Amino acid sequence: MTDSLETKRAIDQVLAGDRGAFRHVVREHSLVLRSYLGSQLHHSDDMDDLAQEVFLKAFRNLEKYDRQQEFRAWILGIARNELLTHFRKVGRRKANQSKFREEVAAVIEHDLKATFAAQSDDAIESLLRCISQLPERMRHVVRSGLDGIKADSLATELSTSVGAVYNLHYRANALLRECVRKEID
Amino acid sequence: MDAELQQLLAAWLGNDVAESALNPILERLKTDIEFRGEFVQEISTLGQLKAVQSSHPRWLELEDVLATPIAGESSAEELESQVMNSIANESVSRPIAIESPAFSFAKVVAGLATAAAIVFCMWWWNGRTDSDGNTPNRIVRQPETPGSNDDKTPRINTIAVLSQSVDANWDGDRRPAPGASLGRGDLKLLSGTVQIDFLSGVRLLLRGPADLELRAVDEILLREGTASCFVTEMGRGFRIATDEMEVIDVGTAFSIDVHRDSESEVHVLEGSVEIKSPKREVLELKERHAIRMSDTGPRDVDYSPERFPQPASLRAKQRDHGDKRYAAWQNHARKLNTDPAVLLHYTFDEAQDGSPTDGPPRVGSRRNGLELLNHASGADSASNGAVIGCDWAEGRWPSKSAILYRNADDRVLFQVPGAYESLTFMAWIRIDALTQPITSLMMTEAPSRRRRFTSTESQIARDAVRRRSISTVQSVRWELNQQQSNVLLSIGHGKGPPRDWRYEKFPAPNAATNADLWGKWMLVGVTCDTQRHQVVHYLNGAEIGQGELGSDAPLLLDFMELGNFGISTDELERSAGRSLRRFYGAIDEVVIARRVFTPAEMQNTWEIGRP
Repeated sequence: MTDSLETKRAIDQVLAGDRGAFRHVVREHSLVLRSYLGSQLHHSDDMDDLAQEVFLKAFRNLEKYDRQQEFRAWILGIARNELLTHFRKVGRRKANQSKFREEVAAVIEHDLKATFAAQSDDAIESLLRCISQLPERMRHVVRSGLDGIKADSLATELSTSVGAVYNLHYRANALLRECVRKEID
Repeated sequence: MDAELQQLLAAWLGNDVAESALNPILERLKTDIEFRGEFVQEISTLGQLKAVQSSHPRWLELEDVLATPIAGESSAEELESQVMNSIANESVSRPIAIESPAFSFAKVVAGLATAAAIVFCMWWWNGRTDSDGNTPNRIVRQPETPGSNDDKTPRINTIAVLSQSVDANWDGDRRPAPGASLGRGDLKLLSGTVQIDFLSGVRLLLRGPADLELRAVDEILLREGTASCFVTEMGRGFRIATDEMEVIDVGTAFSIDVHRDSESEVHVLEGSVEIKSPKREVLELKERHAIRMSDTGPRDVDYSPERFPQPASLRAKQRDHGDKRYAAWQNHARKLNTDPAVLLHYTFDEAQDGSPTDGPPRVGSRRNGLELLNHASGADSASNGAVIGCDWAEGRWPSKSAILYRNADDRVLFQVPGAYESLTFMAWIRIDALTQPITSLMMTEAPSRRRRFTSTESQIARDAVRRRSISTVQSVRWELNQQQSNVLLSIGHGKGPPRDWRYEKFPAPNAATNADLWGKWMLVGVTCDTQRHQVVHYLNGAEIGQGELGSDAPLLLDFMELGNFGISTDELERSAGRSLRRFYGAIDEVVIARRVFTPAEMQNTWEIGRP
């Protein structure tokens, strides 16, 4: 996705000394950045804390930003580094899990960044409308996932198997993506 | 669903999965592109859901969608503020490239001299000129207006937001409007119903007469009033104190009725509450139960939730209220159309095929919202507007349409041929953001520019050129200036090319440039009387400033643009985007009249038309 005129202008203004213009950069890229971080972090608090760190790093290093590169790709690169640092910090407490996440993250890094570099705010925002169209049971599973409720607890609550909960969530996600595609088209 | 994908997702989401099971899955992830694609797709969707559900106000919207409360997360706006605060507090210098780190005494002296020069220039610039270097005419008067951008206004510590209001009639010093931030203190609601959202994650529906004190994000004192309280998980423990008791939420929803001359009642809609009263044990009241508190203690009464304000009833009242105001505005608009001085009246009150909503479909429809109908009586179809790029959206009321400006090239092109000694411009606008220093409300366009789009042989174009050949007036611009926080009417005079024109400028302070007012409908207006040499600016029916015209030459309009400026892509690129003037928001009524509207008419238009 090509950077907008607004992003380009805001970067010009920040480089010219207008710190306030960085607000436009934050506005324009926060949803995609948070989504990217959210895809790899369990807790929304971590997602927002890290998003803030990424924006601060971007601001401090803006003069190093190569204008030939897409800004979104650049900021996702910073996010990737912040995630690695985060995983390593957490890894001191949960070494196995951290090692696994690092390995998986390294394998999917390219695909994930490409997905989010092409992502639009409209598509992400349309998810809200699409959730309302899900059947009740699927909405409940999606909501529970967002609340951090584990699949086994949810399975007990719904009197079903853990596998069925995963399947339900998987089908819900597929329906959401299809709905978003239709909305965007 | 692929069993290995399920295991991978389970592990990714922090569930315990045996390491031996994960190794082959990790190998497959490296080699199986389709498998990897599916996994990336799944976690991308999860990340997007996580991000979008925690951004305010979508957080509340999702609560509605899922029909259940969600613990709040920091919003996108909060994130933006946190980042900007951190940047403001950064001790490091701005990220400006420095040519050489070497210290030089000469550079320091030169730097200080430059800084002094800049400070002087800024003072001179702000005091004397605008960004185009033209001297603005003196503002004779800058009266205070409600909601004006006053730096001396103390900032309140927000504990809640007034999110909805229907027929609210306030008493006392605080009379908040929808969207207003609320700090600690008293509120007296004589009548009507309001919705207050507390930052703790609690929504209070309150029906007047009510007298209350907002004490904290999780506590109010209710001296009188009928209220329903909806509490999210995060807001658990919300407390309503009365003279007789304290009601503490330990569930999700309850209602309370407090009267000065009778006993208070508590009804639990969902979950449960704890009720504390002096010298009595704590009472836990379960859902679908109600008590009345008397001197002798609580006693059961019939559970009757229908007596209390509910979200559905508030929405129904809002709809009724909106419909009534919309009908009153339609009557006013029809009368305005018959005023012979009204040259142009776009109401945007037509279906997207252009048919008026209050009449039969027009023959030869307006082609999918492309053409705007000029409703002024006797108006020529040549004064209909062409909607370029704008989308259609909800206007001041749910039943009314407006056009939405989002893209850099969105605009409405129209024409008002003629030369006018007096003019009134008036528009109902909603600013969603000011995206650059100068934003166009309405501007004339040089005939030479319009020739890029229209036939040079048109009679209107020939007349426009002829009029300009015998007048000093070349252009009229009505704009918002973000940096100087004002609204500006500029009249360009000259004979040569546009770069040689001299602008008479009439600014007035305008609260519309204050971000606190973005997202709200407002009425902006300006009148210009060339014979009396007078320009008057209005905001929401009140005068906000005057200026004195130097010339008595009639104003020429002809080709005009609403919400943009006819700059070419080349010009935009050459100026690195600085010449962008696009409006970012919505417009749902525009009036141009060939006479000066009186202050009373402006006030009346505001009173009848405000949402």
